[in-house]
Amino acid sequence: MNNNSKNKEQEIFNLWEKAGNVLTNQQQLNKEKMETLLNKSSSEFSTNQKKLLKADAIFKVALIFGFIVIAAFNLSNLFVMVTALICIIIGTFGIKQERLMIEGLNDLQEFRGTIRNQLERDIRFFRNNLVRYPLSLSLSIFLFYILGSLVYHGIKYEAIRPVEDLEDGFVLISFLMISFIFSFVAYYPFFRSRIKYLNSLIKDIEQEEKIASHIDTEEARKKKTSTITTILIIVGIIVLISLIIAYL
Amino acid sequence: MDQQNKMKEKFLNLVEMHQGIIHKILSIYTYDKEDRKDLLQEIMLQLWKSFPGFLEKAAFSTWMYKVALNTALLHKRKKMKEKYTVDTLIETRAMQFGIAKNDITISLYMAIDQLGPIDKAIALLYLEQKSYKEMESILGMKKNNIGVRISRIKDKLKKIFEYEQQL
Repeated sequence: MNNNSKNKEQEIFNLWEKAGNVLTNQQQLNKEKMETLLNKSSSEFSTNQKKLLKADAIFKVALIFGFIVIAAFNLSNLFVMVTALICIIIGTFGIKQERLMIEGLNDLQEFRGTIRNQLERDIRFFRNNLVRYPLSLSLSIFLFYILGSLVYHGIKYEAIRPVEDLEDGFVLISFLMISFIFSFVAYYPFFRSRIKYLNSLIKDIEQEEKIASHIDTEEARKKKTSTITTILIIVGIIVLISLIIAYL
Repeated sequence: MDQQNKMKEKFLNLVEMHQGIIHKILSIYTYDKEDRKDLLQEIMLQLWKSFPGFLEKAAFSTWMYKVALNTALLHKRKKMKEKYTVDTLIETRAMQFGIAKNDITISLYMAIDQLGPIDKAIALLYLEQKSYKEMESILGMKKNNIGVRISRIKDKLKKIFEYEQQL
């Protein structure tokens, strides 16, 4: 590097340092300000997802409680008991999945390793939970629909009976499935778009790696070639000198 | 003073001492006051959450670069191109530093603004005169990869920097 470009580089470094000092002096952070910032809540993606999952888990607990109450009032009704039991199992499964995701998000929020490691951890988590996340959230609407139907029947007919008419059953199940699918489709893009963004960052990091590894291979090849050439030249010189000596 | 308070006190002292890093990161990843405020808060929260995992044998500044840069990369920011024209960006930067619009500092920041998020991180570490080894431990990229990227960034910055100065 010549002196001129070295000086120019140093000039840029000085400029950057000066600008940084201006910013630090302008926006001086004292302990009080920092304490205030630490007491506020985060609006970051993982925190928002955690809040959503926690709220949904509470909703599921309320739904499970609703099924327990319905079952308690219909102890002799096998249909209600079986439906309530299945729904309680589904609800508990959903809560367990949400708890696992909240734990995963908590773990993710604690920075470890390098930026690349952290981005890879993030991608791994969101990929592993790409289906689990919308699935467990959509279970709430599924359970809510069933609980609502049971309560409606209970209030209207004063008894909950299994659906006897095939058409009624078909409509009920169809709407149940449609609401579940709608909910799933609505939640699915949350993690999908996050993965897409994280992937773009990782790709950006890896972008030059292939070029760099190609340069490495090229350098190694050049080194090997020059070593072999040097050896051959030395051997050639030795042979030549030996031949000259022999003929002399 | 209990353990938690002691840890917080230590944390606040360290952040106060190295706050320049945060301001520099904010200056290249945000373009307006509101966005800056949001990112500052996220960085502070992320630093505090990750502080128990901070290994004392590593330099605090290196660890701070890692956490703060990672937060800035993941922070949902407003799309600069949709919101700002070159003129408004120059004006915003001039107001931010309290300098004239034709000041050379604006050219430097305008040049950095043209870079992608990862290149911005590398540019920042380069401008902070960090060694390749340190950059490797912050970014997790191989040294030769960093070398290739820096030489490209330098070229890019040089071109944009010279062009901006001509305007």
